[in-house]
Amino acid sequence: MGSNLDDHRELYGDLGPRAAEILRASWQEASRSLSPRGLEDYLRAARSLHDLGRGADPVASFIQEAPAVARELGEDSVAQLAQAALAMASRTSGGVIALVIATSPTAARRLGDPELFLAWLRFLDVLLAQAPRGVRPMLERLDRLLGELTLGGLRRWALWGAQAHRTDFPAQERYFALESPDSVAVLQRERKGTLFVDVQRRLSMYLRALWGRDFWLRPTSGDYEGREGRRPFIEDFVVHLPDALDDLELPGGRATGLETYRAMAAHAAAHLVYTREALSGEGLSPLQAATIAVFEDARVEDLAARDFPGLAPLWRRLHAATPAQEARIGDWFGRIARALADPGYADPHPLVARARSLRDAHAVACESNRASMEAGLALAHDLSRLRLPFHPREDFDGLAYRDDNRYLWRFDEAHDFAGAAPRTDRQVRRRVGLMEFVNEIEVETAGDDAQEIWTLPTELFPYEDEGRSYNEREGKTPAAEPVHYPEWDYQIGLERPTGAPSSTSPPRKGTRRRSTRSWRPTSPSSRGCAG
Amino acid sequence: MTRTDDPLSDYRVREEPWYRPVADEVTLFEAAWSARMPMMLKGPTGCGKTRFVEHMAWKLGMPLVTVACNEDMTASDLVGRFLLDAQGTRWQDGPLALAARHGALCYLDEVVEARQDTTVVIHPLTDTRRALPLEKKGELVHAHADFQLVVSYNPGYQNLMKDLKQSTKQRFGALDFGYPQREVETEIVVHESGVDAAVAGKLVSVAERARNLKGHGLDEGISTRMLIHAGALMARGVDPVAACRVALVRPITDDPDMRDALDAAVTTFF
Repeated sequence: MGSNLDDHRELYGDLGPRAAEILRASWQEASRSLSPRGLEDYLRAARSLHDLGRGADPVASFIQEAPAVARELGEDSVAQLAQAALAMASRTSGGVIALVIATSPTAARRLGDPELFLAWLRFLDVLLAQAPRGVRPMLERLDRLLGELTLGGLRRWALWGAQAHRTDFPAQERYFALESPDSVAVLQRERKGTLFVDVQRRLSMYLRALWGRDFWLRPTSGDYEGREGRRPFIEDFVVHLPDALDDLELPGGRATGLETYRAMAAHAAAHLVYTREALSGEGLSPLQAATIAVFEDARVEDLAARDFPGLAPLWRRLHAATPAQEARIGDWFGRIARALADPGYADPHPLVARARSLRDAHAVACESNRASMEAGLALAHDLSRLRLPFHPREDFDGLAYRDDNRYLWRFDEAHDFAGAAPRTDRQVRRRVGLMEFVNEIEVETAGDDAQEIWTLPTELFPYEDEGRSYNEREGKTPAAEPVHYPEWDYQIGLERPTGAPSSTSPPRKGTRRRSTRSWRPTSPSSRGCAG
Repeated sequence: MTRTDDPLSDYRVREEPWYRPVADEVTLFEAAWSARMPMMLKGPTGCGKTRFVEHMAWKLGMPLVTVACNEDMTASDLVGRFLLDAQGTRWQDGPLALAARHGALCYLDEVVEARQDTTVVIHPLTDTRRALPLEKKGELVHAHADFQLVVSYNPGYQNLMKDLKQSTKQRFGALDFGYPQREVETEIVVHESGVDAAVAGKLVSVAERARNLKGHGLDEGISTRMLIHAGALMARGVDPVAACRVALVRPITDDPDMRDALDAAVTTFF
């Protein structure tokens, strides 16, 4: 239900004619992108920016651009943007604040994740302290910079310039305007091959084409300080992939960033599709858990390749382990993973042969991850005889496309579907006590779009009630608490235990005659019940 | 009967068009024909509606007059018009009048493409009157006993501006056509394109992947007809990935992301 701007006149009345005009022009988009509460916060933030006394530009920019940020990332990001803009007021001019706000939709679109956007705002805060003259030229070229760099890369590029030209302001401006050779050279160094935001849509389409359902993909930035990307992971049914990937030089040739992304996304999707029951990590040593995970990775890949034969070569070419690698447990995991994925891989070591025979022995039961559990436990025993130290954080199979397998062990927790649902601003229904109801309620007659709806366990009669309760006056029968039933969610391909809410309304109270009139026996069986 | 004696000679189906029944559509159509019930064939493009009508025309021994409907088509294009020649004006029956006068199956392909005011000319032919008024000529053509009207209709294309009126829809019996089951579709691709069953099965798998994207970036899935095109290219020695690119992916979308996703889906099978 759309919200009327005139209802909020007390919030925007003082903003001035220009801001009010822009507000009227932006209101329709704002009311589509923001919840009723979000709209109020949006107006309050505009007013706070106005009260800063930094000119009309920041206010106008905010009114115009905040809805676009909300559409990209949700309304929490709008509040964060407003907070950040207010915090910058003491350190920079109104023009720069307006530019930060004006470029925020670009940043939101390129970063594609609320957490990354928050990190972006924090980074701007740091940069304002370290290179205040550089912020404006950098923001003016933000589209190009975020088109070529991840947030981590941009941060390193900017901080390099801030350090190098700390006191030389003209040089600082040239650096951030990409006009100096060192600026272009550092940019070149930090450039990543493929940015996630550029391929997200085609990855989603690819997965949907294969499995006929939706998978949620989100970027994650792990390369803040080091240049190494974070490993992919699955949490709450959302697949988190690195925000950028370089092409990989492999023995079998070059793998582009997009190919690696595809391998990552397909592997994670295979976990989501073929893992149907929980594995308990209780009582397992870290080595046992890691070995089971290697078998589980191979199992889901085998099942996926059975349905889609082309996936096997896609994954296989990213394996680079060789029989010469044996210094660490992670090396052995890499060799075992390759042996399980690639029938043509020759590795004479008995441990590798043993891994293959264990996988084959459990092939009949490969539909269940119990097969991985049993094979993994058996092989972990053999691996422990190598007497090599095992460090769970460092010793993994070394395969960039595989996720960190936290999903395997958190499968039970992942059944907290409420947390897994896409973010929406839901109306809150609360059952409250009489005194809270009487003292705290804001609008008795709010419509169905109210942010919160409070219900009383009993009927409430107004002071001069004339025998009619509030509910009777408003014409609404109080609804019972919704009952939830399990429901198959075709998008994620799993059953949500509390999927379908069913709301019922108890019948209205009435006289005995009325209830008798409404109940008329119509069949012999109901007549029998009545007797 | 010589060609000049039989005005529908050109419209007779002389060789059996191959058609693989997918359910009981042949029996139902025969029953509808015996009752002369107007029929509507609903289904996505390239799933075999036209081939089915051709096959039924052959099976029933009926001539088949086909009209490809379009939005520039007028009622005169269906019923006929006066033409000028050396002797003056003469009346030329349109395809609908021809079929109704002499007894044929008249197939209006993609009838929804025609304007609604054009479509209403079929109304008197499709109820108990079974007559076609030729207003310009001042004649009422009573439909031949063998005349039957068949229309095809792709529900995927309908929108508020382009849909059949209820008064038109409710004159027809309807048969739903969809993409055939996997095994049947494989058999069709093998028969029509000449590739072996293994290759045809892979082509069907690719089509299933694309059909998963209908409504998620694709307006329509890859049709059986497109699979036959791809198979025909492969049977002539074209590399499978290139054949799929040319016959399946490039025609169906111009969206670069979608093309990439479909190309990648092709490589999971070829």
